Amino acid sequence: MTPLTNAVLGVLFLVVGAAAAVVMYYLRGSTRLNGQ
Amino acid sequence: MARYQCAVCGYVYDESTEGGRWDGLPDDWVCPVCATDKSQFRLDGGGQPAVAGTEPVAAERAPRANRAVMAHRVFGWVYLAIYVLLIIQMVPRLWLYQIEFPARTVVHLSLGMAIGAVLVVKILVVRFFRRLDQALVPLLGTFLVVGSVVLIGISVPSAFQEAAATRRLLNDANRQRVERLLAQIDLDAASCARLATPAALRAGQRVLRQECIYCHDLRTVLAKPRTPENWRQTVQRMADLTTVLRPIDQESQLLVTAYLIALSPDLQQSVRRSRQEQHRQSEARQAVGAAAKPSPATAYDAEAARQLFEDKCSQCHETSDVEKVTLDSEQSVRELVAAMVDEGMEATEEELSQLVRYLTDSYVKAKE
Repeated sequence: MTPLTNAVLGVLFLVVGAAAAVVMYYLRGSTRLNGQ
Repeated sequence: MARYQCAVCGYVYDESTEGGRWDGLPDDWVCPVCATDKSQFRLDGGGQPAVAGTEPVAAERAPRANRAVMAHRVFGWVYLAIYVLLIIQMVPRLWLYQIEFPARTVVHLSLGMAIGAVLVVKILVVRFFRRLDQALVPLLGTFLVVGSVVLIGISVPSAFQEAAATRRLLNDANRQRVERLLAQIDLDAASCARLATPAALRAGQRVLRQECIYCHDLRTVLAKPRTPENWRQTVQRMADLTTVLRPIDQESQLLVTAYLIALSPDLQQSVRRSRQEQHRQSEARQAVGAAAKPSPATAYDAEAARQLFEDKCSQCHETSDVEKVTLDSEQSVRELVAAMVDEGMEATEEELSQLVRYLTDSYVKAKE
């Protein structure tokens, strides 16, 4: 794997991780917990 | 047996398959998919709240939340797959190093391993330890995204810079320069042309990365530009040292020599910046003295001096670079030649005198 491919995969890794985190915050942040 | 559906993510709690009645679940039980509490569930089909006296506030968001849960899962698996792929191709490299890691590599390595450990914990919690979900999963997820930002931030920009530099290195002008300079180490024209192709130079780059780092840091290799013959000798010397543990064959030696010659202009630029102040120090002053000595024994031949200028100076940079320097006196020419000697230019005193004379005639007197 060339360093460039490596770097592109790294960026994809970051983007996918950030997207997963955003979705997690959307789900949990919009949920009313413990009936409060 | 009844079924209860989560109004947030759509998860269905089926009493017949879950093995327990809804009413028997503890009050702090949460949805195993999205961690919402019992009050957000409703009786499947009936639409009634699953907990008396409560109304699911997120009922209207159920289809959207369901899609979000699916998206989170897909992103999570893709994230894990990329992580495993990167680890598989990076970890074996660790055994190649026989040197101490640079600080950036240590941070990269530590963060990479920490992300792996956190991923394992997060998967275990989500799959097997749901009671810990609310307390741990958001924290673990936040660590993963922050860790990823730092991990990628410290490594990817330099990788892109290197890719851009490699593309610059393989331009036609530099490859023609490499082909021309390779002739100076007694290679036939066909070999010179073959070693100066983009594929061969990339192969040389791979040899440098894979073989040279086996014993030492690349910074020691790339500390200063060298002449083609000097590169060839250095590579030969290194290959002789590795004959027992990790021999470097003749073809690889030629490939890496060609690549190092291709790198020389960049090295020259880098060294020029870092040694700008050192140029004025004593060693360079001594070289000025050597260059200034008149040599009446040999007649000055302008054409031979021009050829000498082309041969010596083009080994590390474009000859047109001399026009970027202010040359307004013979003294400034001597200082320039002295700086080049300090950079590693190899020439006899006679050749230095010829160069000083040629540059003075061409760039100082021509302006007068």
